[in-house]
Amino acid sequence: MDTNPASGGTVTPAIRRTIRVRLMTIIMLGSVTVVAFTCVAFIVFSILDYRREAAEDLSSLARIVAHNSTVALSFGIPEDVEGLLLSLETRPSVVLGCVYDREGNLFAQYRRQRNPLPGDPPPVRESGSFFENGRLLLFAPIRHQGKVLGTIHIQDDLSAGWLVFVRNLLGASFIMLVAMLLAWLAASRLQRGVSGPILALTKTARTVLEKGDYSQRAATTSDDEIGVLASTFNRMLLAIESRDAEVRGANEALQAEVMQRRQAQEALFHEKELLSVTLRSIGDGVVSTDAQGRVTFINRVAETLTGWTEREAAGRPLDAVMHLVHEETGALVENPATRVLDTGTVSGLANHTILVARDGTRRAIADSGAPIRAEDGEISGAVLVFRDVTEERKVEAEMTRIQKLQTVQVLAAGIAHDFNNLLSAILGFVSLARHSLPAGGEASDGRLQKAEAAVARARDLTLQLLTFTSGGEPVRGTATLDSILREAAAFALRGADTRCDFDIEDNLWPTNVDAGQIGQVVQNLVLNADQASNEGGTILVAARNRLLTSTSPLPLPTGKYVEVSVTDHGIGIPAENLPRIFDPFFTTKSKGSGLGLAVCFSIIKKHEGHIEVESAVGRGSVFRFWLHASHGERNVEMPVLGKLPLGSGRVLVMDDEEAIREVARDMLNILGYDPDVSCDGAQTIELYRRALQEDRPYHVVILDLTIPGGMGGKDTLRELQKINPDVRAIVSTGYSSDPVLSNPLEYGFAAFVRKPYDIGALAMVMAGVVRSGG
Amino acid sequence: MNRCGALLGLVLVAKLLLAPLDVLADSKGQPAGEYRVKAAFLYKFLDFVGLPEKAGEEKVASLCILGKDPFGSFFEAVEGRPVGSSGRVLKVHRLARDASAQELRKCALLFVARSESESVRDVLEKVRKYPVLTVSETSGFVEAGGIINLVVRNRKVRWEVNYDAVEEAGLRLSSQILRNAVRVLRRQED
Repeated sequence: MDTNPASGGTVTPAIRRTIRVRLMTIIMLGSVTVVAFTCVAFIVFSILDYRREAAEDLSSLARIVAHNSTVALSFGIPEDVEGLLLSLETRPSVVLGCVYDREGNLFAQYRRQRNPLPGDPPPVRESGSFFENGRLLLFAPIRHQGKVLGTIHIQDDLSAGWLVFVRNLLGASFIMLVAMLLAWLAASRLQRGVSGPILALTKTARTVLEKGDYSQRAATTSDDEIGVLASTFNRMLLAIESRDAEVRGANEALQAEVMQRRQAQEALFHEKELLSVTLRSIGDGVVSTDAQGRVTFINRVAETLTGWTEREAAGRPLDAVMHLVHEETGALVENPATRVLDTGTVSGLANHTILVARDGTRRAIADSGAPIRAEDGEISGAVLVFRDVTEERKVEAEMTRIQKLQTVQVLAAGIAHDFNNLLSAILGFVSLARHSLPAGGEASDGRLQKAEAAVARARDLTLQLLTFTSGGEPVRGTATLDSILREAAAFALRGADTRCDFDIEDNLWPTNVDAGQIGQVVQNLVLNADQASNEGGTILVAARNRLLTSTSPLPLPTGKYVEVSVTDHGIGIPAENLPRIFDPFFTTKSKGSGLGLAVCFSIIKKHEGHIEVESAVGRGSVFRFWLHASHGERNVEMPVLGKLPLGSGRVLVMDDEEAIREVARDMLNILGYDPDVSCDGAQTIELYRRALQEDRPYHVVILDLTIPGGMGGKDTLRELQKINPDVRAIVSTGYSSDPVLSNPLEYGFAAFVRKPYDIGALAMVMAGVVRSGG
Repeated sequence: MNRCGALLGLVLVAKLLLAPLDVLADSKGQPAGEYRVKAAFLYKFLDFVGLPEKAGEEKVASLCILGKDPFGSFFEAVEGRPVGSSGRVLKVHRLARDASAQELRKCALLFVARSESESVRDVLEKVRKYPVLTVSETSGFVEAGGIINLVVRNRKVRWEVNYDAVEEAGLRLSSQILRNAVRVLRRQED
């Protein structure tokens, strides 16, 4: 593997030259160098030594010859000197020896006889040794008693020295070879002592690096620097190991902390997100400001309510975004946030505050502001929470209205019952009087008719009051509103010069309503419209089918409805009066009872419907109400009063009011029946049983629903049914609250007749019951 | 070797030997060639003889010529020159036949001229056992007890030495003198 050591910390660099080779090389180089140097030095030295020796030898030879040739020189005996020179023969390397006299003339000489012959003696030179052309030339003076007598010269052939040199060289080479061999052997053995520990150390380091295992230890066998290195390395490993463990621990702690922080951060983020989402999706409007009252945040609901988007609103003064005015005066209202910033206290908004949106929409709001405090307690802003309470206000108003109605109900309940009974008696007798009028009494009949009409109006008024009583429950029947609307409107506009137009959808869905009550509503509405209209005005009565979905703004469940509207173009209703017009006894008319619209409201509420008004002063008003459409079929229309159906059979009438008993007896007699009366339940049961025993049973029993202090209609019927399970009974009451009236058959009654009833109504009910009973 | 050549060689040797004495060449009374050589020999013998110290004459090496002087004025030219290595200077004495033994014994070198050949034994007796190098040119001189006797051989001046006389005189004579002597007389020890 070829790796740059600097590039990767994990890859061990390859060892190209082993330390063994290095050590061997060093040792071999060192030893060879030393041996070679020694050999060269030895050779050089030997050569020099050879020369020096030769020179010394020649010098001593010369000295001997010189010493012994003084006399011969002095006394001119060359033979003697030649004899002396002959002694040079003993030294093989000498090729020439000669002696010169003082004048430098050759005195005597010796020449070795060998090939090649040595040259002639050279001229005299100064004393000394000279190496020339492989020869040593020695000149020495010959002295005696301080006097120079001549010069001796000896010449030596140094070629023998070459032999010495070659011999020495061969010897040196041999020594070198042997030395290298020995060095090799010694090095290969000794280097293990050095390279072994280093290799072991390297192996350990490698293992540590590759496995990352700092628990490895190098062997410390030697006590030299490598041993110290190994033990130092071990100490280093120990330090690294402990630090590694430390770092690992710290790293784990750090990781854990990072994880913890991340989780905390995520939790915080989620919380913030949740908070933000919560704030944005909260059903109330939320606006926050900074300490200067500038908008910093505005949520979606607040955007809708104010008409400002968050982007547009950000940084604007709160008053510019939230334009608050008083509901009635229209004066600017101080923003609660401003107050919060000033006072630092939680603050609510005054009632009757209207938020005028950017597009001019006015909404009643309720809100509260609270300071936003920083950690140091300083107010850093304000948060304002508000909501649209327009609908709430309406509900509140309705609640108030209903409470007022209940007050009226208590009042009405107190007097209407008795009054109604009285009216029943009056009406009954007047109607009897008319029927029993002899021929020719037309004038009396006319008066009686007016009395009857007046009583009828009194009855209507009482009925209106009675709708407020707890017994105002509508007696429902399936009906289309078409005829009810037309009849009621026509009835209300009798004698008026106001024209009434109808816009009634064909195939109007049937409704399950109390026809009398709804007719009353329409009468009241049309009457009001007429009074509000100028003379010759037009009133529009419209009705159409409506399918209300969940998007409908009306406070009604979804489903099929019939919408009825009564529109006039009259004087209109001032805005400040609008909230109160359905209140009982609220009226702006000098002769008004203040009950008309209140009754309308009450009736529609009892029908689980809804009524509202829309009006502008000078332009007119529109009253609309919605009623559930029913799935049932239309009832057969009640026959209009005409010729009275007559009947026969015994009839028992129970009523606690004597006047009622009297008029009922008279009416039934006229209608052909044989009536008996009783004043309470016990008497009724007694009479019924006796009649049954005497075998002249009652065919029909008319029972008053409520007998004060006695057994009422329902209980009495149960007792009668014990006697005769097939007893046919009609329930009669002025109240409408008892459920029995809505569904008399379920309680065993054959029919229901409302008090006060006239002879016509009684004849119809009786005829129906008798006919159904066969 | 013919005569002519030998003579030439002798001349050459003489010339060589006397070169330092060339100053004398122009002087009067030049001795004949043979005596010039012998005179030079006498002078040089002093260099190769270990001369003993003699009282009162520390700085002087006395060369005495007994009898008729054959050397002419040769020595006058060299008198006063240093002799040997002891720093002494040459002094020449010419002695008569009747010279006392005292005078003879003072001499470092005593040349007995031919004229005194008759009285050689007497002379030698006088200096016997005294450190005096006795030289002559008379045959039988060494046998008579003289130390060195100059002879001519092959036309060259050479010498004979009585080694016993040297020892008797208490002198130290260079071995080379002995080696180059034509004859060395030595008592048979055995």
